[in-house]
Amino acid sequence: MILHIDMDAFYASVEERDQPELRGKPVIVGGNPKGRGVVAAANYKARSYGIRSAMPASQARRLCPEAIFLAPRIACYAEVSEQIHQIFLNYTPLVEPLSLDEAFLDATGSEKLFGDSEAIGRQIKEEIKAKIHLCASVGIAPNKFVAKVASDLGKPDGFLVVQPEAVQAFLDPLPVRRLWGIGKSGDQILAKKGIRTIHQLRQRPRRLLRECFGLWGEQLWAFAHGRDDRPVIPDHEVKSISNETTFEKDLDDIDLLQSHIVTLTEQVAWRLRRQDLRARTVGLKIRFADFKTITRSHSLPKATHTTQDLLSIAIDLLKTNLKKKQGPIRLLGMAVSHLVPGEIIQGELFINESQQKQQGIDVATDLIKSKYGQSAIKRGGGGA
Amino acid sequence: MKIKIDRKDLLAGIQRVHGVVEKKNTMPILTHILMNTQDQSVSFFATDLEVGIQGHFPAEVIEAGSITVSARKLHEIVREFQEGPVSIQSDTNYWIVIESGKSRFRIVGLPPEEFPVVPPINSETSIEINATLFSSLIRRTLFAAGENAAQYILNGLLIQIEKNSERNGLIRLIATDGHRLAITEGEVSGPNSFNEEGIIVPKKAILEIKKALDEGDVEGNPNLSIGDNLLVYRWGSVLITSRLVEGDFPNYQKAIPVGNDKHVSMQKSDLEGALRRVSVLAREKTSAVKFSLEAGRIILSASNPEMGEAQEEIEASFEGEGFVTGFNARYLLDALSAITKEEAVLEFKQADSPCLIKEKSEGFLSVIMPMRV
Repeated sequence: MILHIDMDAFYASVEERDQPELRGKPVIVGGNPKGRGVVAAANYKARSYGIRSAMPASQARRLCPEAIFLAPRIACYAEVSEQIHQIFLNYTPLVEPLSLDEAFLDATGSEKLFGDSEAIGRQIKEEIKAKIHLCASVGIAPNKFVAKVASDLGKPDGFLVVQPEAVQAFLDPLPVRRLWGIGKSGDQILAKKGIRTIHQLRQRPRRLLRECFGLWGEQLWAFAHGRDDRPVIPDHEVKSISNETTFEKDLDDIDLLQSHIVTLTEQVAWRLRRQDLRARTVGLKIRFADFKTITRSHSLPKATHTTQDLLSIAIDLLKTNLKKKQGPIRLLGMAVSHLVPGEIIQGELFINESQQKQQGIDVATDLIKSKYGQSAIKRGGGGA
Repeated sequence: MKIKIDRKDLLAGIQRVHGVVEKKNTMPILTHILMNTQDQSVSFFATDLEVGIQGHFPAEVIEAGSITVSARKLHEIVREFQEGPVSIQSDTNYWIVIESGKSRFRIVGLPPEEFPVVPPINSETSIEINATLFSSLIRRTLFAAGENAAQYILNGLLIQIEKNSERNGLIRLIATDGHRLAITEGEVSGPNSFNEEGIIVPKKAILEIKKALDEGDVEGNPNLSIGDNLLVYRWGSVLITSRLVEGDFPNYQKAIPVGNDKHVSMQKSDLEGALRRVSVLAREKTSAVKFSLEAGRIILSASNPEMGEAQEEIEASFEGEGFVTGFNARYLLDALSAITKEEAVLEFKQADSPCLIKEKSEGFLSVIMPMRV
């Protein structure tokens, strides 16, 4: 069985824990009351006003004028995240963190030591509450996809176990949006065909999904049947780091696409540096309006974690692949692979000045991000 | 040409020049040795067009002349001969007849006039240097030079000749592969001019010079001259010429750290032994060893996900706040091997900055970049 453990309103809960006077009040982390920036996290009280992550702060303020806005303390959240990670590792070495506040665990091998996966899930949830004073939601299921849906449904303070024989019954009544990768527009496409629930979707021929979503439709079909054979990959075995974004509206403006690549690359490079890794290969994923998806990659002679190095390749890949006109783009993804651990990186005696400058920029922006959050500083322009 | 030469001298002649003979057959004549008679000796010459070596050996010259012969075949033949005189004679159409005892060989040669000649030597700077000193300077720098480095220039050594005092000069050898740097200095007499900017000499030439220095047993000092794009080494009957590498050597002075105030001293043999032992379990290729500095001790450790771990602690005199860093064990061992004293001092600033190892009295300095652990 796979466990998906997700901290409830993580950033906001850490703030509430550390500042008891905030308890019971609507708390928003990120953005400011003047309406600048976006909401990084909101506690459940704030959510009851309709405030959601990634919402502009101005809108959040309109919804709840008395909300308390706090600047993110990413370094502090990262430290708490590490403490939680250590608790996971007491139960199983197979821990795959997805972000600071959620992780997949495969505890199959530890059942003789700690009891079955359900017992392990309970122990972890209790240990986090007792030692870290935070609340986690736990989903337990035969695979990653179902485990994640289970922890999401249980929130907050959830604990949901889906036994193998109950998977289909569990998924069937859920709306198709619960499927990984179905967003607003995917939802609309399916709604037009009269498909609203996972049950309805799985009644339809597989071919239909292929027609709507291309190869990716196959994956959706498998999810709808509760099938997902992706293994839990521990942090130290990570083979690639990626990030993707689906646009609200399909894009064909090269400048806009380029600016999205800049944002994606910044995030990927930052994760790379945080894990003390360097990458040899840069990959780009483009999904066109007709759901046709292409991936292209390019390898470097030397592994790097410098944003600028990765960015110039990603932008080259984008430009080369947009030459042949394929219509507007609905999704862009950026990935790095062939990762080299930092520990075997031999220092260089002679660093050329432009290289040194780029590394200096990365160090400085990482510092700012760790203090004020991901959105605190960004690259301007096309970046190439 | 017809000569009689002792097998021992013939073998010595072949071996003297063998190192530069081209192994690849791209230009057949470069796989040959050129032999030339002179008074009562014969000269052996081989070149790969970058480095050329010439040595003279005693021989009885019956008929003056010259031949070129495949270095490999000649070596294979002579190696199997018994002690005693060997006769070498040119035949028509560049054939060569080699006889010793009751053996007789007839092998093909090439026209000697087609053999590349020793480049004209018009030196600008000329110095005399003590053979033992020069060999030691090379020994203590060569290890740091690049091995097939992508940046071609790093496969050479930088040699600078500066004015030291009224009558003497200072020779400085600098080698770096981009990860570590070694510098040695020594006094030389009588430079007629200086070359402060320095010349870059291919590693292969330096290796041959080192070999010639260590094998030489002639009176007096070797002479080094620097000419137009050429370095010439002469000692006794040996002449080595080398083309210089063109380009800019990295600014090595900028790579020498200043203000490394954390001085850690230990028995050199302790550190060497521990590095050798612990690196047995280091990941291959990198020889990465974790280096933890604490008050009074250094803990070396290595781990290899497929093999296991090793750890060793050594005593070191150090007070203050330590740190954890990592090194390629090979780099530390190479630098330590250049230290003559029993005590070694490593100078640090912080975990991710370069380590300095030096022996001022011996004119040696080395900089090693750490590895991130």
